[in-house]
Amino acid sequence: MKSEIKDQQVIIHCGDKMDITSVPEQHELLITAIGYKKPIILEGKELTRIDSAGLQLILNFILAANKNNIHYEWVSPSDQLLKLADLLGLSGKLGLKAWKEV
Amino acid sequence: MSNDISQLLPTFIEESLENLDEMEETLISLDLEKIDIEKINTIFRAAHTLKGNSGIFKFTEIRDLMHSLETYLDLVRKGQSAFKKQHQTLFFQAIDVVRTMLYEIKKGEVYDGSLCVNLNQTLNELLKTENLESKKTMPISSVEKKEKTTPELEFSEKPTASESAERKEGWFIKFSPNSNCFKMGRDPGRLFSALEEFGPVEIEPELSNLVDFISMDPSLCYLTWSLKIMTKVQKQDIEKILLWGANEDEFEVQPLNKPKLPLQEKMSAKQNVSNSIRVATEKIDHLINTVGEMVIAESMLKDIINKLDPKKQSNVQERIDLLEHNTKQLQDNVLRVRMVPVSFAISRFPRMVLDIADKMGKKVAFTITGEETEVDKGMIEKISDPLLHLIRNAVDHGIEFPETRNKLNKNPVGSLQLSAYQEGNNIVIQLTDDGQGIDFEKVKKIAIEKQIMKADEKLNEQELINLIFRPGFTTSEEVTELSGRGIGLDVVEKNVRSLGGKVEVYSTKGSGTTFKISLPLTLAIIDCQLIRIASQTYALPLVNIQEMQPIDLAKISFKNNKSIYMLRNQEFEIIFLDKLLQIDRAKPRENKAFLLMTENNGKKYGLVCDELLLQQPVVIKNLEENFHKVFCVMGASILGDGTLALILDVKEIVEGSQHNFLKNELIHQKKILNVENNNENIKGKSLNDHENEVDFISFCVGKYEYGIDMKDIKEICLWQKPFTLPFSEPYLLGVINLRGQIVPLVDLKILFSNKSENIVSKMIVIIELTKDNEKKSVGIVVDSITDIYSIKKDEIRSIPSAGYLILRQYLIGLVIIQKRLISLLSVKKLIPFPAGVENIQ
Repeated sequence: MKSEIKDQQVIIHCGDKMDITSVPEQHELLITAIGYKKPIILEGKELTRIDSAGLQLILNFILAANKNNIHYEWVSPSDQLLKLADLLGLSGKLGLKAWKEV
Repeated sequence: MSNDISQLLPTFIEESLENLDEMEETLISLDLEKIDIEKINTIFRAAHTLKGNSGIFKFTEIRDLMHSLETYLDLVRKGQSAFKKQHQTLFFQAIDVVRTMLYEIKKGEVYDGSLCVNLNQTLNELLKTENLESKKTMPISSVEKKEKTTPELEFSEKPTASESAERKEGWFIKFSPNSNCFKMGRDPGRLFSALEEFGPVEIEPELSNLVDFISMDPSLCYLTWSLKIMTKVQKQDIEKILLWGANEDEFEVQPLNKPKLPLQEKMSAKQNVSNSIRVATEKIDHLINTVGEMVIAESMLKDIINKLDPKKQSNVQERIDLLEHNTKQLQDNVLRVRMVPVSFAISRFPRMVLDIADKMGKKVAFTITGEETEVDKGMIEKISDPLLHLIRNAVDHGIEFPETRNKLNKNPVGSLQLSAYQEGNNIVIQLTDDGQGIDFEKVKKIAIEKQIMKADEKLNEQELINLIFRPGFTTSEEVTELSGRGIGLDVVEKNVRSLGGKVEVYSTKGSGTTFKISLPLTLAIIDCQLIRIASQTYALPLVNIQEMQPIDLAKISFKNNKSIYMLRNQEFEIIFLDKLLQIDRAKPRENKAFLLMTENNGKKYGLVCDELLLQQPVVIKNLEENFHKVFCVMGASILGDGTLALILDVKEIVEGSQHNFLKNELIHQKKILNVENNNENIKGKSLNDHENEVDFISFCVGKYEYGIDMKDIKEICLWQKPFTLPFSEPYLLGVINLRGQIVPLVDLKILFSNKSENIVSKMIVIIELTKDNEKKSVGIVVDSITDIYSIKKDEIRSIPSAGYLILRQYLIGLVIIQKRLISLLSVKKLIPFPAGVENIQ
């Protein structure tokens, strides 16, 4: 996972892995990202290894963005991400429902 | 009322107040243009329950009033009467009257039922004038008879199509995984995937355990789920999946097609399975304090281990880390118990806005968002009134009359939005109106008139906004029943500040105003910057600090008796905390110093300290618990090493430095200490008139021996160095940490002789007294404990008329034991706090 600021937006590239082994480090990166208080783009096309810990981290990140009135948007969420979000009943809360229907 | 029934009175009152709340909320949401019969039914049900219950408790006035409301609602349900504005107002009045009566009953006061009776008459007259009386106002007995045969039909539950579908075979699962499930490799996703093999699954996650994003531990699972699975497989098959790997997760599997219970049984079943209990706030506070102590003890333990030989350290480090983690979790969980939704404070506001707007002839659409945001219970109680002021102000002064709004091309219905949300470690409550906004020119004009600012002074918008928080400041030309007297905003600001929060205002003329109140998450803990001044550590709330940096003392200049410093081409006043707080320095000030930038009323100030230490959350301990409010001090905290730190009140420091408050404060504190001898509401347990014998403990202070009644002594402990308090009398040495309690310490030598001596004492006697029914502890410094004696009361000799000039006022009498003269002290007169401190101006 890495983040960059482009056109007044924070772009978060989720990378290929968000699981129990990587979430502590990714948590820190996401705390920094939310601190910019800029609109966020979540890019998740390479995310092939995701587990419930990873999904919970994204969920809480999105909830924090909502609380801080920070707009967020998904770009190309991977099938694995969509499938797990659906399985855990979190598609709606993660803003992935529309992608599921695509 | 029989004893059995009277035991149920508190429950009746609580339930009745809930019924009134429900009636009120539904009435507010009622669209009078298009009546929703379901809402009328809801009000009817609440009135009906209230009528029945008040009848049981023989509160006939409430019963009759509810009966009349019911009668009228029944007409509305049947389409025989319209529900008009005047009826809504009458209903609101009825709710208010009954609510007041219930509060009076709750307090055990004699209640006034005449208001209920009068209102009932008005209601019946209204029914008569509508020519409905003959049809509808029937005696209670006949209405109840009718209700026995028909009313349940309206509320009975017939199975709907969707409910029938729910009767399919399958299981309802409540699944709460162990918080360590991710680390243990038991991913809930995998379990749900396995369950899907049995049949279609509906999954509903529950997020209520999820903590704030920044403070979450991403390796722990905070989520729980409810699942419905349509399948013919047996319960054991489901359980086998859920038990996979280990059985540390909590789950409950119930059949989906549980037969529906009739309404009444369902309600009683609901009561039986209620998973909440009411606990007194004091019990929770006690728990929080104990956990706070545990955190401090754990931190002290960690300090000790850090000083050990590194080889030994590694053996215990892992366990200490685990202890730290568990203690932190325990503290978070305990603090969360005190958290209640902000809706507790704001649920009455919609009704209030409606009333005020009606009274003013204005139209206001009031919306609330984030009412589920949780706030410390203590804060809820204190934030309610400030919000009330702001809402009144917004409707009264902010939002224009419909005709004015029309002329301005605004929607004739003004908008007032109240939103609550969490922002970092703060709770924000924001009130935004789309009214006329603040007229800065007018603020400036009034400020000049009131001599708050000079005519040639140039203030920016933020500085002008800050003037509205000055006591007595108002821009309103007219004093209304609601506002305009200039009382309010200063109180709002003061109340919010007393909670460790701040108020910000954003306003645009013609477009509206936003008041943003930021509060700490809890009253018990505050994020602080620890600083050192001389040899003592102090804490400054981070919310008051804008930036920190080293200061070059040589660059300080003086202008109009003020110390001025230049930072980034901007001049501002600096305040030396050591001078202001009158801190004695054993050694001269070092060259190195630090600046903490703060802002008050739009002006920047720099506070100078010797050293910046850690930034950390601190548990606030109340000084008032055993002492009284000390100017410039918010409270005290016990640090990781067990030492004390005073938490400073930045606003009082800045204002004190500006207005000579500190000099007055010193006089004020002396006044406080001088009135103590008249304190009739301070009681010791000693010398009970009914007892003939007195047990007392004797001790030496200097050359003299004194005695104090054993009943007034809480404990005796070893000497510990006190933390000096600012603006205190010399005999008050400061405060000490008595297992988490902040206890003032009195030096008898100074008190009795007005002479200061070096402390050679080795003991502290803690005495306990009752002030305003609250227990207070005070420590007195003694050289040594000599003995314990039991004497008869008539052995106590009166004080000779000559001598004992200073001491006389503190004595009960004298005793001579084994040729030693022992002066018996009245503890009531020794203590350094008075009754009614707040009344002394």
